[in-house]
Amino acid sequence: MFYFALLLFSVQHMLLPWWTTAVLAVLLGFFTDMDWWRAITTSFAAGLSAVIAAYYFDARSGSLISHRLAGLFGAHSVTSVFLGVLLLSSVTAFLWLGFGDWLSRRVGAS
Amino acid sequence: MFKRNRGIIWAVLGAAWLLVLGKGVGPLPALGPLLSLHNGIWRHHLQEWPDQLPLENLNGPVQVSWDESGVPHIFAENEADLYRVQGYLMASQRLFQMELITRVASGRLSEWFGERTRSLDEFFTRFGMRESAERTLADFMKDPGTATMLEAFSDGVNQYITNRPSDPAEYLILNREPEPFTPIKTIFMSKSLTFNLAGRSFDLYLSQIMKERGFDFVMDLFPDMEPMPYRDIIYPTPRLKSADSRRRGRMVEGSPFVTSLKSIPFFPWPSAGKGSNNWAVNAKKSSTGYSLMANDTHLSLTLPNIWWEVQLSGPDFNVYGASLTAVPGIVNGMNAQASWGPTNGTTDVLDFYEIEFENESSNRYRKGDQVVESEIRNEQVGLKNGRTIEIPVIKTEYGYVLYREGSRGLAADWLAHKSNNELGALRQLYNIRSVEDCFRAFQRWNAPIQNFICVDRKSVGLQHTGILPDRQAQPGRFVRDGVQDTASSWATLSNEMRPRDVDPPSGFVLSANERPLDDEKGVSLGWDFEEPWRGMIIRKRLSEKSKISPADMIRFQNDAFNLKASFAAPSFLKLVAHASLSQEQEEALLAISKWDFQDLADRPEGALFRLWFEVFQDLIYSDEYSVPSRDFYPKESRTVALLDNVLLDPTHSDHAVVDDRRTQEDETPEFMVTKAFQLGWEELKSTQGSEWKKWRFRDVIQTGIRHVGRFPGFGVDLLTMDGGPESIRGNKGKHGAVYKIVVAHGEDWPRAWIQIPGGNEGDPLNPNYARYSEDWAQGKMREAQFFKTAEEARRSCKRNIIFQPPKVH
Repeated sequence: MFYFALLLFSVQHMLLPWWTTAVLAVLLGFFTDMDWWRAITTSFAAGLSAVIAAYYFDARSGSLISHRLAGLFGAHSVTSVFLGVLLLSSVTAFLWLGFGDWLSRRVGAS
Repeated sequence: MFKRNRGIIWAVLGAAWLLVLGKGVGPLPALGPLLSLHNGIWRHHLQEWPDQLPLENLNGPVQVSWDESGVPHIFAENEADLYRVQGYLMASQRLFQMELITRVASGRLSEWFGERTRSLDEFFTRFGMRESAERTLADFMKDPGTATMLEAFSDGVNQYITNRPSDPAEYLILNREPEPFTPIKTIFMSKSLTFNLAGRSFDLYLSQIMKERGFDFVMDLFPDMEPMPYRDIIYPTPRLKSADSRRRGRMVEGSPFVTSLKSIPFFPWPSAGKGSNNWAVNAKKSSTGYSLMANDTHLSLTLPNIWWEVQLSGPDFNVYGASLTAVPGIVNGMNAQASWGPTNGTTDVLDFYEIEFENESSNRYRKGDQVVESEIRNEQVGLKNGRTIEIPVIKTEYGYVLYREGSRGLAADWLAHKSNNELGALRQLYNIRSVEDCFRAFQRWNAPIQNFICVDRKSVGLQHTGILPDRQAQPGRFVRDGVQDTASSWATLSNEMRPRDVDPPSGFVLSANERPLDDEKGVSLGWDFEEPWRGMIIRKRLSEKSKISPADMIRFQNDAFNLKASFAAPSFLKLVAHASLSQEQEEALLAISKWDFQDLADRPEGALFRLWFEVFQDLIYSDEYSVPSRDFYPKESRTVALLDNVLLDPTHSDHAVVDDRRTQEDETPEFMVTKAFQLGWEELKSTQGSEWKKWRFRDVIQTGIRHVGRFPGFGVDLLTMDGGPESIRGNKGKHGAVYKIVVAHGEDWPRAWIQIPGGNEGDPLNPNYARYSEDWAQGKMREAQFFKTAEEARRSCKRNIIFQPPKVH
């Protein structure tokens, strides 16, 4: 599930607007049987795929992007920037995975 | 895993999270679009230039050669093509800055920044900037050459916006898209700069002080002219015609009007102490046998820089120099035969009138025995959340009404609203061959008033250029009475009366924003100018040597000598009471007594003196009147003279100024000087540690270059740079020499050395962003590559692009 999610979110991050992370998470939550552990690893996959892509683009810019973002947010190091990316994407996925899972159970119950 | 009734919580939390990411909260930007891997900041693309690039509306091919310093050299067969490509290139490096800077005077910052900038937007709207810009644009467009400049430049900017590889980082942070560029944006940029240079006036505060302490007190602390010998005068007095003989005599206010207004409204005063320098030596004074020119313009230090370096070669001209962001053409620069550059004239062109309306809600006001209807124009100021505020802009014969207090109002009459065709004047400069040609071009220059230096191969000249208020006829020192003072139009001097100097016997001309004229000789341009220190030291440096070389010119630009300290420190040392000082403090005083008055970045003397003088001024002036800002203290030259007065004369009236009126005790100069030293000492101790020998001037002055939109992390902090505000370097920390040039004219072709901190590149994600900042701080210059022909440029530059008209099928 983790690798599957990693692949899916990587494609989504590269090709679709940022908010489609939520759409993809709803779909995953709806069509996949989620438990807490699976929800956490899937969300982490979403965050990790974002970090990998961000790191790639940052390296292409000579680390200028992460450097500027760190300055913008008053962070002490660029690591904080990538942790931030990880967190934002993971939380987005987690919240909407939860909603997708709830939706599937509600549909199943009815 | 999830209970059924928690679904709604997931949805609400998820939606709220998306909303926060999508819209941002408070100062936090919208992180979703900003960090998007699809089209956010991570996918930022640098501008890449192919060998050939099609551009709509071109009439012929245009060659652009980029030199190693990142300066574009543009060669076009006609002017429209030249400015079209200039617009395209400038936008490729400065798009965000161009839009931001034009939003200031147009009162549109709040659409981006919300409540934070609302008062500023409301001010510029009430101040009449929009109507003024429309009028100016209409004036500019009457001249076909100027219209071509504006329209072609805008078209070039817009074509870049259409073709841009990605949005500049700042737009992503603000979650906005670039807006199409129009000619009026260029006008708003020039209005904004004009306000920055000519938007200061003491009138409101002097009226307040006069109400508290009386007319004589004001005239004593804010005299018509700087006390001798702390005075530098730029120009000889213009020849008076017989009709002007009435002007002779000291500037007198008459019986000044006392305002009944209780409050001083919000006014975004441009900071005091703005400085620029220009000087030139003629062929006789130059070691090369040809004229030399130096110019450094001092403004807020920003990244990107306000200037953009470029060579423009058109059908009948070839010029090199600096363009202003969002403005086509070149402002400061040179051609093969001549060079030119400004300093701010600093002449006060802002007067205030107290208006008496019929009643609190009426817009009809009294003027003598008449009642006059105001012109009302309803404007809108947009906010970040999409809301708009309606602003009724009230225009009277005395200017725009800024503020109302019951049936009274305050109108601001700004002479700089009256434009001519400044862009046309600059365009005319491209072909000048002599000093006289240069002065002729400036006939069309009204505002802002500048000391323009004009240099040809052999001669040098300087002119106080602009529409000049006749301050003998209209002193403008206090708020004026809108009811009785019915002569509401400005009294101005004719163009023939513009102060100027050409090839004086000394062989040099100079200006540093100081007093242009000796009022006692009959013509007055007002009392309020910059301090004389930089002008005096430049004059000294140029007089000391019989022949001046280009290297001398560069060295003088980097001069860190603090002339004010050389006058004030000996007085301080005579007055300080040693008995109350510690051993360490005595050691520090000994260091100051041996100091050569160079404000060196890593030395403590400059830091100590700076704090000492500032605190001394606080101590002696803060009790005198209720105007709180250091910006509205008496001039430093008056403070230095006060030190002389109290030292030489125990009965001098300045002893009363030194005394703290709020206490029963009699504070002596010795007491205040010692207290100022000790307070300054404590401040340095708290900010820089207990070892005074490790205190550094650089940590007091804190030289740094901020991002133009004040985005954290997009600027350069704490550069090591010698010199303070009083030195030729004019280093105020966040304000300084944003452009420096030295031109050495020659028989065939001039050479020039230039520095623009930050360089041309304005994209924070480009490796060349902030380029030359360190070099600039260290005083290094680089030689400009001013090419004679397109062929020479193509051979010398590694990167060449041909902009082509689109192919017709």
